[in-house]
Amino acid sequence: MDYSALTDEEIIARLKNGESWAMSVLYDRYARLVFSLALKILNDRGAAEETVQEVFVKVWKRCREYDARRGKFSSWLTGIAHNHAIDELRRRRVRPSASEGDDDAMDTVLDEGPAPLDLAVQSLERRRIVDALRGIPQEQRRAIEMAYFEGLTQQEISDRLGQPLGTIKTRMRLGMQKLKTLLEEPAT
Amino acid sequence: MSICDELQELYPAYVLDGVEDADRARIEQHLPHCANCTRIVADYRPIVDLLPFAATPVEPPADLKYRVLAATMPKARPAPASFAARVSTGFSNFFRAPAFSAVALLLIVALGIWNLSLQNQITQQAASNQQMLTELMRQRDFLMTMSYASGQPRQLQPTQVASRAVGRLYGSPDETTLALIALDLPTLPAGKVYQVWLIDANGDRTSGGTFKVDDQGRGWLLIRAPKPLGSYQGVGITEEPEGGSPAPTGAKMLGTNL
Ligand SMILES: [Zn+2]
Repeated sequence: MDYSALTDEEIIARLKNGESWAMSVLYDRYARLVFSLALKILNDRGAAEETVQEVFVKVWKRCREYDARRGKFSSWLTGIAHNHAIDELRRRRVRPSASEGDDDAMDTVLDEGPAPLDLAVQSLERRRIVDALRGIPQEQRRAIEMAYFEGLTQQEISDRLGQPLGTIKTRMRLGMQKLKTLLEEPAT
Repeated sequence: MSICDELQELYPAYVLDGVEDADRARIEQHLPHCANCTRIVADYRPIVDLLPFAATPVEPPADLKYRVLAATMPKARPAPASFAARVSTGFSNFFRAPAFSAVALLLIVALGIWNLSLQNQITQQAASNQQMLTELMRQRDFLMTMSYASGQPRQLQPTQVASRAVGRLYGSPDETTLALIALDLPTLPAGKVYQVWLIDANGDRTSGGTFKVDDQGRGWLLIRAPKPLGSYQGVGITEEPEGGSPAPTGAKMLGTNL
């Protein structure tokens, strides 16, 4: 049997079953995604490493709570990771410099080359979201990214950008609606 | 403005995890009673699921995996001595049985015959010792290789010098990571190790690494071969001076054609 052919859900079932090797497979599959997300949010390698460790420990301890009928494993995992990194960011009150890396994130779509299937899938997911983000007006994108990657409330975004709260709310709503439409379009 | 209209302004921020606690509480109170708002929030979810992928991919440091795996090790519980002893005595026969499976071996490992003390040290020292973690990873990789090698393991045949010995090599033909397990080898004199040789079509022997055996002649080795298993014609184990030899010098103990 080739374990890399197992779906996330099958691996979680093994993990629930107490087969601790499953952790190793999940790590190989998702550590890079979790690390990249935490690094983007925290802008600090050490803190991002700690986040990875704590997120995987949480997954291990709470794997019984995961229910495949309610969503993909990767969504559950990135939800935990995002939550953790934003909490840490708020706790440390360390803000990543507002625009650093943003343009990189928009412009760089890694060419994975010959990579394992899961990396290839992640690369496709990345291309989808990066293309969609490129497809919406810059100020809408900015508001969404400030909320998601910087953990800011609409009021905080309004204060930082010196724009009325109502404007920020509208930008976020329009941006999210447009993203939804773009993501529903068949991939080109 | 109805509550729905008012909250709809907040849903994008809500799914992005960027609302004040008070607003979050209001939203979570409202959603169970409103199918329309629930649908709006659900529509935003796929976007949030994809946003993590927008972060520029960065490779985490390699040693982070060891730390994570050490932190997620099940706490080793010493098995009752009598039971452990029974499993241990029956081990050789168990291993020879055709029904022997990787799962069974995982169980034996879980019982602590191989790495109980290591696991205890790891959990006690909270994964601070790099060397120990590396060793732990080696054990894990070994078990993974053994558990997931496709097809039957290759049996290694004993020579006259080690007539009771038995060995198995696990690995898929297209893979370079192999797991070798040997039982009932002669115990080694001081300063000696067993060395594994991979033999190619020209008869050239490449070292697969060295290992020692415990007082019952049991040993194992995770082999990182330079070429996939399928490109070798044979495998052999000889006794060599500690540190290994560039080419076989000692008596052959186990071997087989591949
Ligand atoms: Zn409503």
